Amino acid sequence: MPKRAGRRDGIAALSGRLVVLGLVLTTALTARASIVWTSTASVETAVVPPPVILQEGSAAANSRWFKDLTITPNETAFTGDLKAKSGALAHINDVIRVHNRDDSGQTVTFTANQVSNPNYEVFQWTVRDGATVVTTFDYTATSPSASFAIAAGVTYQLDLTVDLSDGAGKNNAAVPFGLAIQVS
Amino acid sequence: MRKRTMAITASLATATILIGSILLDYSQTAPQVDPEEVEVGFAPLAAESTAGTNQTNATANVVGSLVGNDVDALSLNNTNATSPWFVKLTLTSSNGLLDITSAAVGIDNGTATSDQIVITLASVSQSEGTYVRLEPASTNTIYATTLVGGLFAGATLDMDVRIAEATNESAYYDMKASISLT
Repeated sequence: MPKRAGRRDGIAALSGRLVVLGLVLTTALTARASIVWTSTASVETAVVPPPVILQEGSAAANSRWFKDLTITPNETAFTGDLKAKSGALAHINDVIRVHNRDDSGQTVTFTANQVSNPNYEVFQWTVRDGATVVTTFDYTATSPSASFAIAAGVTYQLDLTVDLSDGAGKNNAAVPFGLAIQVS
Repeated sequence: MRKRTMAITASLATATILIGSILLDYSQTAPQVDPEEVEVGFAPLAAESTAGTNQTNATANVVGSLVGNDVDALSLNNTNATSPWFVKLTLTSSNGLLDITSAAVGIDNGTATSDQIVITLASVSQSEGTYVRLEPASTNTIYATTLVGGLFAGATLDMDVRIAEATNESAYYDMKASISLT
């Protein structure tokens, strides 16, 4: 084989190897750019009990005034019926209680829908710290709301006053009286 | 040809989220007011007396007398078959006391009487009574005794009638009564 022909063959072979190497590198770069993986990291969640809870007061189980008044298992709401007295002003002490079981003070805000039934002349909660009135919450107000601070470990009691006008029949003045609670 | 292995390790042991303030918003349920009739309510006894639509807002008329008069004005029956209630009267306003020699409004529970509001020589000498026990399923009355002078022109006594489940007033309801002395 002539010497020049052999050199040409060698150059051709080298060129072929370079092309193959280039393809391999290109493939490798492409593969690197499309690497996808799934992280196995995890985030833990925990349910922390609310710092301020509701408790049943001494009158909650009194069948003269309430039917099945109970605090829900998570201690953040209550259910049941109030037996108001048609045509009379009823006052019941210590219906439910608000307790701050946290290590620091909290601010509690009550809100509810207005009771616009004209048979209700008075319909309010009185929040008491012993004999001291902390605040009142009036359902007949346009936008019922009340806020109060409660120190760590302290319990306040809530008294209920409902004055139904004379002429309010026993079936014509039923209204819900929920209580939304915010803690901040 | 050399093989290269790329090892990628992802690690996230703990995620910490700092929150400046927390606002918990409790969902509310729907307890309900279910009005009912009172267990101790008024009923008329004397002529021209009324008890009100819900038996909670009464009026009565008692005729005064120069020689003294004792009238059962209103009944105050306890319809609860098993539990007692306690009642007391509190004077909230009055007029026309001039020429009243003596008058009293009280409660008779069938076994005893208790003067609750007392007027002596044209002035109020007792404006509030003490609690009287109303036995379960009992009949009780509000009475008025009057002794007036010759120029007596009439008087009115307005009062709150408090019905309590215990004398410590842990729970109660208030009714109203107005007694006219003529």
